[in-house]
Amino acid sequence: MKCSKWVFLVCGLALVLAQLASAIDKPYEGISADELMRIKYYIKHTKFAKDYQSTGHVWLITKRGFKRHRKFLRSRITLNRESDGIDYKDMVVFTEPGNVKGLAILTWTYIDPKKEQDAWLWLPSLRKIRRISQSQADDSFMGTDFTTEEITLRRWEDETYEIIGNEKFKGYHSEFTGKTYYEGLDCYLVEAKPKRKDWYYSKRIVWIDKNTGASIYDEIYDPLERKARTLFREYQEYQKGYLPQTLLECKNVKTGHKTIITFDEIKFDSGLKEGLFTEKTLMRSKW
Amino acid sequence: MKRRFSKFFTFCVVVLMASSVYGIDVSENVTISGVLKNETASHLKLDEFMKIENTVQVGVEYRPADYLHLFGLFRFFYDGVFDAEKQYEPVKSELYRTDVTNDWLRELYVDLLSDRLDVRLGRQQVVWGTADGVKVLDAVNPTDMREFTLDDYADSRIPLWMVKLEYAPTLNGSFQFLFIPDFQANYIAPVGAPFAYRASQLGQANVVNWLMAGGSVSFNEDVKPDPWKDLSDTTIGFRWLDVLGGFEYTLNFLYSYYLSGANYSWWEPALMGPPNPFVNTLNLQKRYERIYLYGASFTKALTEGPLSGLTIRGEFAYIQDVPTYYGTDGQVAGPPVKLDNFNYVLGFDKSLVTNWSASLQFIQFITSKDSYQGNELLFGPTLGPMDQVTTMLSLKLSTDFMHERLKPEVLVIYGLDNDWKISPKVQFEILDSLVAVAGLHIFEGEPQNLYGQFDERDEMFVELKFGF
Repeated sequence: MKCSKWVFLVCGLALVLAQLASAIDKPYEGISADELMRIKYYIKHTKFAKDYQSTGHVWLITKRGFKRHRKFLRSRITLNRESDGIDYKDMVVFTEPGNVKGLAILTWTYIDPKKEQDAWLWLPSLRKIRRISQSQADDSFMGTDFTTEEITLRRWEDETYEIIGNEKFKGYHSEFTGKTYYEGLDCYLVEAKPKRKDWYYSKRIVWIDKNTGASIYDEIYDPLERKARTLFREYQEYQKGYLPQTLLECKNVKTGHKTIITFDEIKFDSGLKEGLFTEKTLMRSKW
Repeated sequence: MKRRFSKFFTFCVVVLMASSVYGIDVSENVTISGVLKNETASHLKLDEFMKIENTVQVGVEYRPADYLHLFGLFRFFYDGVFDAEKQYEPVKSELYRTDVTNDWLRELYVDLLSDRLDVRLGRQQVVWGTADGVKVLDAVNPTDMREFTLDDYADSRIPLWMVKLEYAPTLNGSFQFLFIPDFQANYIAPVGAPFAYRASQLGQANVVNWLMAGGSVSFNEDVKPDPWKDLSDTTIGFRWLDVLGGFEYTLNFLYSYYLSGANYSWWEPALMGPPNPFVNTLNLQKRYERIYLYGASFTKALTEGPLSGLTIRGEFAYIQDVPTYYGTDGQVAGPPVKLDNFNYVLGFDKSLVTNWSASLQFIQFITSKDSYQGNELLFGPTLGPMDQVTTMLSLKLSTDFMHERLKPEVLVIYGLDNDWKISPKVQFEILDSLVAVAGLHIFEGEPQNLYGQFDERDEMFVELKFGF
């Protein structure tokens, strides 16, 4: 049931995508590391839009340049409902390539950060729906360079934080798009260390935009304190002042493998109904 | 052997070439998608192919409006094993291509969609239950068992013409109603096919022996329901599905037929003593008896606590009036008797260490009696003695390497009668649309048992699948 990792990749992207920076707290002079990261996570988990739709593309690229591609359609509705504790619901349907076409995933995410998601998978090859369990936190996400924890599970309470400096971001050059991003952007540098012992990373250094509080770049270090991976995020200002994430790049420094995720055809507040996020909808799938 | 494999590799090259040029443009409301597939299986010990099947499957979806969708799925295959292997030639006409179960039209339906009510009219598959490798609630559509249970269920399920209504009176609650004015039986591989049941072989041997003794046989036409002519032959099903606090459950009911059919035999004139080949004619007939299935299922994903990440699921079916054979090993003592069955499966799914996941199932098939008129009950597919309670365990382990390009998996099903099926396989994504699979199906056990009857039919297989 490795398909389940796709589930959590994409529904995790729900969290990441939800980095909408309009009506939220902003960093201020003298802010503490804890407070800064709380804002960062607040951005990550806050959904200002009532609903969201987009088309996503994932490229998995080896060091030698061999590319694999997936395309999916994603819908999300924000509920933040106390009665049943549901924060939001997600529906993802893969449309390419043929061997995953039709794979559809429904997830319910809870307000309580300690409660894992509920997820259902439509398996087109079996014509049936399967309830699935969440992957291990240090699992690769659907074969990407992200871990499950990075996409869905990591919470503010999982790490300790320290501001280790301020600097102008040197810029991130994407070989995929050929562009250089955020050169000269004023950033806080935060060192984040996992509370969990013997974990797959020893620390990460996070560049946080002083203006919005959004994290734009991570360096992730392995247990031997060697740089293992880098993670870049681009945001594009959208209608209503929303600031969704439109590009993610994660590189494995050791293997040279990288994962690129892009989002386009983004729509907010288009009036999606909660009834769309049910098994009844999954059963409508043809493939 | 070399010549055969060279043919297969030629096919691979053609598919590879196709993969670099294939591409279909579709309009905004039309989607066309399909699969080209070669499946080749070879006997593990003998120099013998068991399958050389080439399949084309094309699906077309047309969405003239948000509430109206039309869908068709068409499949054609040709199994060259019936040309390549002389021992299978006698059954070639029945098995080598799609005609047998008339299922080239895999699906053809129209969807009428609304917030509360979805209606699907046409030829389709309906799947109840989620168990791996066994069917408990998945009883709506008949099954094509030409390859025993080795085929994907979506491929082996025989579609039926029906009306399916899905009405959602609450947000997560959904009531399904099935009206099926169509009937098709399970397709059982004939004697001479790679996966013919032991029961079929024994039945044929009995007939041959009777003929050799100078007797005559009358093959009477099967008594098949015909709902198109008589509405009372219709199959009807209901299912209620709901999710309460993360606990999902279904309640199911199906008024259907025992789809494998029941074989009846009698002598004419009626026997006054032992059958005499020079006096009595052996009459054979297959009949399809009504059954009532009362079912339920549940799934619960534990999302907090020490067992967080564990999914527990259960599937239960109480089936009334299942035709059951009795007698001694391989020998039926009389016409099938109707008994009740209670079948269930409990499943536990969990991600283990990094990138490994496991699925464990506990399965039981229980018959309402342990014997009949002093005879042992017989297991339908083998006519071997059947315990009142048959217990099985299954374990599925899977992982991945190379960023999920390489995916090994193994499914082991074990019956407490020391009856095994072990199916390891490895899938490799060559290109985005081109996937290769290689694996084994290994059977172990006594011929009286489900898997043991194929103890000498172990196979290795490769598949090459191009999706577009």
